[in-house]
Amino acid sequence: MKILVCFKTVADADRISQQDWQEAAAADDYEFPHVPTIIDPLGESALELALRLKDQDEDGRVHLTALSVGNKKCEKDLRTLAALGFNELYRVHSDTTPHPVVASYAIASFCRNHGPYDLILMGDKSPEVGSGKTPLIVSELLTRPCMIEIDALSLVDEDEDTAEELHIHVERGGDYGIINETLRLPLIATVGDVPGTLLRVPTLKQRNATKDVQIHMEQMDHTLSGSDWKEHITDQGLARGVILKSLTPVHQERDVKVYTGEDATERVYEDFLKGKVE
Amino acid sequence: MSLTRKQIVKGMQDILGNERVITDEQVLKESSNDRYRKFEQVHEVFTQPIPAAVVYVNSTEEVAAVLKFANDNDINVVPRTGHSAIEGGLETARENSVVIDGSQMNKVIEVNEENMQVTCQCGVPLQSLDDMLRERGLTTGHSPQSKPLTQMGGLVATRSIGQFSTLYGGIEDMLVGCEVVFPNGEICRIKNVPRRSVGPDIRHIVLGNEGALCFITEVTVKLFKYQPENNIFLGYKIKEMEDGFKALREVMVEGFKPSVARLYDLQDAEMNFPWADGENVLLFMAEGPAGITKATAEGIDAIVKAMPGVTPVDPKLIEKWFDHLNWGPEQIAEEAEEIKATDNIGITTEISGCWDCIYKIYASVVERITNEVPDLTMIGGHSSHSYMNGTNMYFVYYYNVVDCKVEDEINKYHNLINRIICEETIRFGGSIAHHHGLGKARAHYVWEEYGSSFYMLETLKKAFDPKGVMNMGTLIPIKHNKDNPWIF
Repeated sequence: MKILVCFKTVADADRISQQDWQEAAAADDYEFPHVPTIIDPLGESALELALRLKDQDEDGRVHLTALSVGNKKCEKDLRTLAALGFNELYRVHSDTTPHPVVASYAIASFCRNHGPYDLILMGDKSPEVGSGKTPLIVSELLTRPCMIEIDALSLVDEDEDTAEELHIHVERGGDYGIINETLRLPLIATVGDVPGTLLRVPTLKQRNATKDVQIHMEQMDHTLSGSDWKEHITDQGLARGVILKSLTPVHQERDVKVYTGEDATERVYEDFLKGKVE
Repeated sequence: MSLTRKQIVKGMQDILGNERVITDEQVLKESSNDRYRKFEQVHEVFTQPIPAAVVYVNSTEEVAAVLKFANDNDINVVPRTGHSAIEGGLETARENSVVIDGSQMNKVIEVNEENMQVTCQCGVPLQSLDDMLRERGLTTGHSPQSKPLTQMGGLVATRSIGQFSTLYGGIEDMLVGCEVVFPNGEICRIKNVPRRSVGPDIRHIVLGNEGALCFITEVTVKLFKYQPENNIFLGYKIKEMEDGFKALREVMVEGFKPSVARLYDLQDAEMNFPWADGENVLLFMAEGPAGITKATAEGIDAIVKAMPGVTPVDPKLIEKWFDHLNWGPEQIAEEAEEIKATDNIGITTEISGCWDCIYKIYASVVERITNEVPDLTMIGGHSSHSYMNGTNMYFVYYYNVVDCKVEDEINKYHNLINRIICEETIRFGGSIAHHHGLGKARAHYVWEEYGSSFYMLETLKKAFDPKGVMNMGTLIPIKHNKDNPWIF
């Protein structure tokens, strides 16, 4: 079973200050070179779910490939994934954070060249762009079904599969509780905010054992990598979407009223709680 | 005959009233340890004796009364303020201890702008004190990474140091005078003067006593002008760690006084600086009057650029990085969630050494920990406080907790790493604790650290705490495993 997991290396949003955001908005540049990077949180969950599939795999059926469309910064994360057991590591080069449409075309192109993949996993959306478009556009470009917001995956018994037809168990939350389904592959699946799916941490020994593993770097399709990509996607009828024009901080403060004196409890009750609690 | 828990609580209530004597089980459990046992804390497994009560004191007289009661009845007390200790200093090592919490003694008594000193009670939070002072164009100059958590009494008790220490010094350089209470109830004040030559400097009995000699109720520290508009930042990548230490030494020996002088090894740099590209990182900040900062920055820049393998980086990257350095309650809560989710835990241990041994300590510790500690996921570190004769090393390490119970983690991993760091530091002639204190964890190496001068420490303890009620186990262990000191 060939599984491709796509992720992004992004600036750690917890370490981006209000001032950083305002300066970035003014310059229309959201690269934040001073901020340490992390794997996008939902992509991280997708990577961990893929590793859990490999944990279940006693027969060597699962082959994991990690892909990121980005600059050299993502190689640090690809090295981590090598140490954790990913079999192949690819980076499609992009100097800056690619537009979701550009990233989608790059992923689809990669899949045509290296696939087919039985399962493509990715996060629902990235924290800094947040369009949620990438998996859906990839799905359209590859004409593969896409299931969004899965919570867990597990392998089916080997005898349920045939050489022509592979399956996978998928768990996801629905309006009526947890839904467990067995789905036919190939499939694109996205991972939302799933608790308990932080990526495991490799030991130094695991890192040393995989330090010479090659990270393959590929150039993006020239029609997407140059400055003419906006025209290209306009030709395809794909609008750029929302553009941030300005950013104003929301003023937040807590209103505090201090009650003192022997009747403080009674007055708090009168002012705030009367009629709201028994 | 020792008192029962009930009698201890009753005795405390007679002094402080019922409301300030806390016996809630969860509070007692959480007060039985500190961040040295972070893994246990996160999993809410409490292995230390649970105290009889946590008591909140509001005045020096109350502290004296509580201490006298404890002393008369052989009750172990653990003084605390901000509860941010990380070397086991706040563990209640004896049954039925009383934790004396000074955080409600939080009044700023006097800001004296003429004498440039501020006097405050032990529970004044450093963050709010310094924020208030900065609005007046002043600063304490003290800024540890735990600034959002710490309070003034604890900072003095642990011989704290801040990020701008290379200019302002450690808390020992800032403390002017103080008021303390000894276990027999004796209240002592050390007056506030610029200098004195009247015998031994008795402030140093208080500084770093870690609650094992006295309870600090009031401190007076120096003030400095706050002039952030003149700050100049410098940053460099440097290929060899050893050259980084040489650059730090050169800066100090040539007489420059940056407020910040830091050297990160490549592992630690990778976690902090996305632009490090697999190299070590040197960074500096010059602070003070404009003319001095300009001269300081130019002088440092010339020294560092003359070192081999140096690449300057945009100073803006350093300035921005500084904005996110401190740790508050949010970061601690987030870290706890990550530990629970991954069983991967990160810890730091700091030591110091002279210039002729600091690189040897660093290299040796990294090599041994890499080879001897199981399930290690990261080992690195940085130097962040430099002096004319040497610098510190702040080891940073992460490991996965694998195949062991929560309560076994401390001996399987943390104590083992501590042992390696202490052994190598002592072997090369450094000090095993630069600014976190000995606590109860590193107290097991107190004999190796002090050598023949242990006599002086032991004599101080016997003189000021003859009945052994002050934070027992801190500084000097209650029990010591001579053959395997790291197992406790």
